[in-house]
Amino acid sequence: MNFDLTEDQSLLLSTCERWVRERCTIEARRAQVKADSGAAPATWRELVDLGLAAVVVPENNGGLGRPLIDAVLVAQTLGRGWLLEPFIDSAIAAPTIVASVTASNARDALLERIAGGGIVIPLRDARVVGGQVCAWAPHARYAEAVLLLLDGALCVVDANAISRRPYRQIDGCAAAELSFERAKSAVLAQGPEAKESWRAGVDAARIGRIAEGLGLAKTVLDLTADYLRTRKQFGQPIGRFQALAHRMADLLVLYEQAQSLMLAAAMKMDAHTLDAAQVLAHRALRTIAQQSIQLHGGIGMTAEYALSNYAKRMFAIELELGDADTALAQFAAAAARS
Amino acid sequence: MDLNFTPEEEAFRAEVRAFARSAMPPEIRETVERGEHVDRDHTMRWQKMLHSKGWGAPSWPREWGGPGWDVVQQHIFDEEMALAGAPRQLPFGLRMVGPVLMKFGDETQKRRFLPRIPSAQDWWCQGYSEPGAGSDLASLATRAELKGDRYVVNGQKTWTTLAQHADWIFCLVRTDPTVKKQEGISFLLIDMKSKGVTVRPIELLDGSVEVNEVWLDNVVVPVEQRIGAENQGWTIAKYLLEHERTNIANIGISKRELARAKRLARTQLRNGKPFIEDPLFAARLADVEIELMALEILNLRVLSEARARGAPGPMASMLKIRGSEIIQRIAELIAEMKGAAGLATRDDGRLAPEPAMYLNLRKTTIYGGSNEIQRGIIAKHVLEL
Repeated sequence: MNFDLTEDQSLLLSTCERWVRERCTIEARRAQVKADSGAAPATWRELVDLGLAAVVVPENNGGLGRPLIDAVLVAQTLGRGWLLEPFIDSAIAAPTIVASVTASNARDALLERIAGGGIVIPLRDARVVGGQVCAWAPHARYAEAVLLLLDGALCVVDANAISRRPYRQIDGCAAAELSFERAKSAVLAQGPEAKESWRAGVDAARIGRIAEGLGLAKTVLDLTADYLRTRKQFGQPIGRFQALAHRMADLLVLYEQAQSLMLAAAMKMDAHTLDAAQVLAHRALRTIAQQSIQLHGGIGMTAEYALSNYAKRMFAIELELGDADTALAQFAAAAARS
Repeated sequence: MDLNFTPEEEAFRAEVRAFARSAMPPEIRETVERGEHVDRDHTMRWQKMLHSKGWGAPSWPREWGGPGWDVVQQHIFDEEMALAGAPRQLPFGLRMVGPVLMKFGDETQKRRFLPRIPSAQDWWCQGYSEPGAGSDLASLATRAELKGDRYVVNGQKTWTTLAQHADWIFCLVRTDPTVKKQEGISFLLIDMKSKGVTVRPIELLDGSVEVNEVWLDNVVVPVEQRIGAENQGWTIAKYLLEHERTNIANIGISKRELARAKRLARTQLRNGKPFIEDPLFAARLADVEIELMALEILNLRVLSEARARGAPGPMASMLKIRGSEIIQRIAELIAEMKGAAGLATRDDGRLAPEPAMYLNLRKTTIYGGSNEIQRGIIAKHVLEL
């Protein structure tokens, strides 16, 4: 039992930390949202050049073949800087799904494409109306391909078959509504294999988003603690007032608890620990965002201050994750049987 | 990063479990599992059994008769013992005055006092709090005046846990009232049989008598019973607090009580159905289980850090806060499930164990540095506010 990073992990994360420090200043992130080219952000190419699109792709498909925990730690580190790139969907979820199916030319080609930075997005909420499939997803705007389950079959659809209505989420993420003809989808796997690979991808996305969210929560905690140390009222830093200091301490305890279960879930990857981690992640994200705004006072309400963007991304992560009630109900049902 | 214990640690766990299961007298285990107080005789008997196994002082080095376990082994030992329904080993000798003697005592003091702790020959209690010095411990007023080779001690200690059974008390006393309050304190060991020591029990809201007032009236204490230099007491007190705060999460006890809560939830009925089938109750139970899972991992993270780099540091305050809140919530659920029928007192006036435990465990967020003091520590030493 130990929680130290391996040498490989340290190396990988220090690369990510440097990138976040240099490229994810609040000004740079806002400029990126504003530029709004409709194409994949140039920063995605930077992440690809750092090898991050290939972290979990198997080695014989041109990837780094790292265990999921490594990608989760990367997600947390990237999350600290307000992640606008499709790392969770295209570098964690999609390769996890595709790598889980039986080897075929289509599988191998797709994995190699992902490792090379091709953006592949799994669609969670697809509806089929007649022969037409409709869906929406963050980052779907510039996806080169999408993955989805259609009547129990795992399918891939290429970008040129998809029509899109782009929109931007409240957190700045470039999303899109998609529609395409069902006949354009190609089957990658069927039956239990399709279901299991999809489940693996959904769970990988879940732990990735939890980690991203907690990364950003840490940035927000640091920002808030810094504010409490420097903002003065009644002749002293406001962090000296017990009402604020104790609330800040509670936020840190909540963060460390959520972080603990996130690490355990990423290492174990069983549904029960994931549900538990999700419950605490929702609580930590919600509480830390809300209370950080409160502890800042008026400045925390302004669009100009960095916290405004971070708090919106934290809320978006929660809704992308799902909801705490469902995770708690699933956990409770399993706990009642144990 | 690795969640698994080593094969050696797993083998150690199995050894502890096997011993706990086979050696534990059933009447002691049953008392613990009913949630009742373990009396003096049972506490002593179990401590002596552990001592003859060589496990009387799990956190001590070999030099002083301990097994020399690292913090992870100690954690495994505590958890397995709690799960097996073992009574808690008293911390006052083992985790408080023992480590203080090892660090600050002279050779004579170490040889005189240390060997008698694991063998349960001496029962220790802690003379810290006073009526006017609780969270603000340094403002304590008990006075010790050096007259030749002996101190004369006058004052009053309070909330002294199990002083009614104690042979010795370690006390913080004021030896210099003219300097800054932290700088005029000394650490004395006082024989409870000394003339002038009076113990008065304090009955708590659950009917238990765990804590006492200890009155010190012209008590004569030989100077050889002072630990460390005169006026070094505050340094010693701070060192002791660090030791008190390892193993503060009480994971094993909370796991045992959670398992009890789950068993009850299957048999106790509300509106004609087992509690566990009520989704609102099941959600509350699940929520506390999630908190406990998180605390267990956080505890392992702190242990992993402590094993690599020494003391657990201010992170231990987080374990204290959550550990105390979690055991309170479990006790609350158990008392709720027992329902109004659990309110009946016995003929001798005693409360049923479930409401008694619910009430008694309100102490956990107050003692050992209240949770508000712990939040202050986190704010100051972790967040640097």
